[in-house]
Amino acid sequence: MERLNDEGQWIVLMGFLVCVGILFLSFILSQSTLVGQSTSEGVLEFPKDDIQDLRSEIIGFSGNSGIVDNLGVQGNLMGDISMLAINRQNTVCTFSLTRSGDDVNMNIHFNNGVVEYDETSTLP
Amino acid sequence: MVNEEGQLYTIEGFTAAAIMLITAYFVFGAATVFVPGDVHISDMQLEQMGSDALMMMDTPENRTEAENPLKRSLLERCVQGNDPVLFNSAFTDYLRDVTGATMYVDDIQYNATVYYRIDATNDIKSYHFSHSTRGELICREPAVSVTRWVYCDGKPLGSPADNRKQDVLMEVMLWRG
Repeated sequence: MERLNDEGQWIVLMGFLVCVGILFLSFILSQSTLVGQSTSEGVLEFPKDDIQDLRSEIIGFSGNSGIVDNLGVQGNLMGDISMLAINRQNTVCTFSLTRSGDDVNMNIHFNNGVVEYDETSTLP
Repeated sequence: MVNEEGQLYTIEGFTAAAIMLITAYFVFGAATVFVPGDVHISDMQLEQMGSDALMMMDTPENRTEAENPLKRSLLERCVQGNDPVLFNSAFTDYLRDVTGATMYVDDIQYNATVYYRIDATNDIKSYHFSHSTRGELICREPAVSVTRWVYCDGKPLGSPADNRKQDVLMEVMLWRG
């Protein structure tokens, strides 16, 4: 350490000071990985695509009078969706479509234990 | 510390810091056995990409298709007509479009299964639908699963499902391999 006299202590002290500075920056850097991980876990956990898929499927049913006006068929489809959802997606799903005048009332219930989604709409 | 030697001390300080940091880096690095959190990020991207590809296949391509309540999309045509070849080419094209992969550099594999319900017994059954070139077996890489509801106006052609209006679930496992 320079000339190997007692001034070496200063060098070590400076070393520690710089070290603390760089360590502080490295903590910030390591936190950014954690933020990326929890964000992507949050995105994975939120069932955005499942809900959009279920909605588009049921809105598709609402344009099919063979489903809206035939409660037997509707019950079959509801059985398909609720049984498949609970077996393959760990999700409780129910829906109903009822005609009122020219419009169709749509009810959707979706709950996968993390996110609960309920919708009541009137479709033309 | 106020004479010109201060510069040398600072430089030596940086040297000492570098030695200490490198030592600390190796010590902590040697103890790290857990996989980095980046795995979740690529899983998320893969899942989103698969969902998007299935959604595009389940979207009507023109007005005639949109107004036909029985077969509203390419995906419904594929499942109802039991056409895994059409499904494979369309799905692979979508995956390649978004990743820039080609026929020769194709690292995303998939395996698609259709799940359906038997009304009489209320059981869930399945049959294999389609898979990519190296997608027969799901191995090595952890796979993500994406699903899509598919409406069938009758029995999907050649399948063991009931002959009635029904909703089946298309489940696609996706992985890099």
